[in-house]
Amino acid sequence: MSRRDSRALMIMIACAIVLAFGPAVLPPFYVRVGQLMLYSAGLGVAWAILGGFAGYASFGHAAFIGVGAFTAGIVESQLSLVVPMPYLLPAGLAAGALCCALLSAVIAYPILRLRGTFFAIAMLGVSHVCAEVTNNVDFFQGSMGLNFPPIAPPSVDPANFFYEVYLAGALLVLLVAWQIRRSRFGAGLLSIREDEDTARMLGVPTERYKRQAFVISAVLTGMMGVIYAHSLGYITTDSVYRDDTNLSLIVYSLLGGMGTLFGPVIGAALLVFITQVILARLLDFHLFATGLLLVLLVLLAPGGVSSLLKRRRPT
Amino acid sequence: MRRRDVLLTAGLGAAALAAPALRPARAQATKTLVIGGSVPLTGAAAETGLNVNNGYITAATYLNDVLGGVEIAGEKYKIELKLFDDASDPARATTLIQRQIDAGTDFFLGSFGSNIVLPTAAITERAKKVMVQTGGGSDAIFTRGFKYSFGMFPRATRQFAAASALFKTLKPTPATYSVIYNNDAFSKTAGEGVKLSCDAAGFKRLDQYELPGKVTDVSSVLASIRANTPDLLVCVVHDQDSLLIARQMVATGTNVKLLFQGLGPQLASYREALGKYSEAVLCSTYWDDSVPYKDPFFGSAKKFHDYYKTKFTRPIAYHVSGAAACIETYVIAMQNAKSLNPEAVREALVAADFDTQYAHIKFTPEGDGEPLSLGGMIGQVQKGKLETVFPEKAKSAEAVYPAPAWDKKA
Repeated sequence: MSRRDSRALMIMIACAIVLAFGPAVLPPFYVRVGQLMLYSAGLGVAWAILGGFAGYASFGHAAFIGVGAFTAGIVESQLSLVVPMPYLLPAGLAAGALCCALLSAVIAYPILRLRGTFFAIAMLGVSHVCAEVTNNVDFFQGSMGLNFPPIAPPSVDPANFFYEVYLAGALLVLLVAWQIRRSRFGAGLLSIREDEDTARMLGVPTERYKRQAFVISAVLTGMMGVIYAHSLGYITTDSVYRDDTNLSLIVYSLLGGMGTLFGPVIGAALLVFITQVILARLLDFHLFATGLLLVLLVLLAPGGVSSLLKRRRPT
Repeated sequence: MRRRDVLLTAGLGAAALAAPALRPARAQATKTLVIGGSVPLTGAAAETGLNVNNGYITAATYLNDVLGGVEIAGEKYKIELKLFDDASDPARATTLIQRQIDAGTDFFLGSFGSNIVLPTAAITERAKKVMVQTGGGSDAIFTRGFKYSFGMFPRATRQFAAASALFKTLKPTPATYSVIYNNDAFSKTAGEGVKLSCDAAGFKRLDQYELPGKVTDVSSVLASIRANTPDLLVCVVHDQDSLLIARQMVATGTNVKLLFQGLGPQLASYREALGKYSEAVLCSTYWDDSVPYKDPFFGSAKKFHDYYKTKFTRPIAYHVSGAAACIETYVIAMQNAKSLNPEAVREALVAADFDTQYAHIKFTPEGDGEPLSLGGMIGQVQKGKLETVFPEKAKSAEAVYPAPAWDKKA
């Protein structure tokens, strides 16, 4: 393991340990903000495995949030009478991940033949199709809504419990992304991002790598969706298949730094802090202010916040 | 800059800074009652969210500006609304509510949409803070054992209870029904409610028809209805689909003893488009400004509507009235409890049994609206006008039953 890799690993573990004490010291509001930051960071990094590393910017990853969430909800409602409460979340995570893996593996072949804007829009279509199916097929209960059983131990505040679950989820996503980034597979993804045709000419198995990245990204996104659905307790189609989430996932990487490991984490934390803490009290123009801030940030730091940090670092 | 200018500037600056601090001192005679919450002013639920927000604002400004505040336990209070835009996002709504709980807010108004109301209600419940809402009707909100959440509607599956109660009073009593609904959240939930209420009331269900989200032709459904004709045909579809169904029923001579269309006949445009054929069609009316309830603050629904028109140009909808009633309900409950203690107010809400411009307020033990009080009214088109035929207290005419056949309508 290179020094750079081991440093990144140490940073992740140290941050996770510090963050794990969050609920003990933070007021409840900031615990909820922390939940959202961790959720967004997990989603942002999962998206970046495909969008940042391989350069395939998806505009429809909410599809996997929804598929994961609804699969888990349906499976858990069937299991809730026979499986003890502590095993429901793992069962839901496994079911959600499996379903996302299957869906992404099936659509990977046709959809990854598209590039750039065409791929992004096709993914938006996938997201909308999944939302419509969930809404219109009675089995999924998307229009009526799906209840999730309470899984937090009675002695623990659910907000604190889900904060820790989100933290574990985000850490898992980061570790997977870290492992990919330092592997031959990760280098292959970066080469696809830089010039896919040349990479293929040089012997990089671009089709296989893209499919693998797509499936891994979908599975991790679906798992974060399962946690999100549990933390809400009740979801309808509108709760999880959200176009603003599709947009936010891109913005996290743009803000933090496209193609970097920690860029989406920084971007997610920044955007959640701006929207939930600084601008939340503005009733009428918080969206305008958020948009304006984003435009300024992108203009001032086109490579993302992580590029600013790199620029300041002495050579 | 001269020294005198510096001093003058500094003095004015200090005065400006001190002004906000002086203001509460002058207003000390009137205390502030803070009611918090989130509303969807942007995003998917914004259209109705704006109505809900306008209702909250209408009630608060009327109580503050026209009545000079409300008296609770011998003290005068002005209402301060702390409402924030949740952008139709449940996750955002939960952080907004948590922030207000941390800041010490004891009373909350609801957002719009069950998928937002339920997660926020779970937070207020845990903090033992009261929420009165007009935006969430899903059964899931009222079957979790929440003790601090109160809804201005019956839960979704009970929202047809008023109509089925009316059907039972008709002579000769109808025996069979069929139901038509769209394949979307609103219609499907309403359809479930129709089946539950009508089955429970003893009516025999002949058929149920699920139409797609966008309907262009219902002739095959009507052919099936002609082959197996119910006494009651209940359509819980959207306005434009109600009109399409009624027009095709006229065109194909599909007659039933009574046609109930949840949405449509309330609108003048529906009645004009259908002309004489709209006669005797029934519909739900949650509110209009002719409801006869006596309101302790506004006086009547008409006066509420008149005041609303002085504040907003947006046409009024029943959500506006329901939202305003949330604040009125809070105030009356606080007056009855003679306290601003959340526990005492909760108990007063449990015992609520009073009129507002919106409806007679009464909650079930689970916190949703009592089906016959808050389940809306039933209207029927009679001589081109919408008359209220149920409940008894709000009735302006007797229900016409059986309805004349299409070709007999004058």
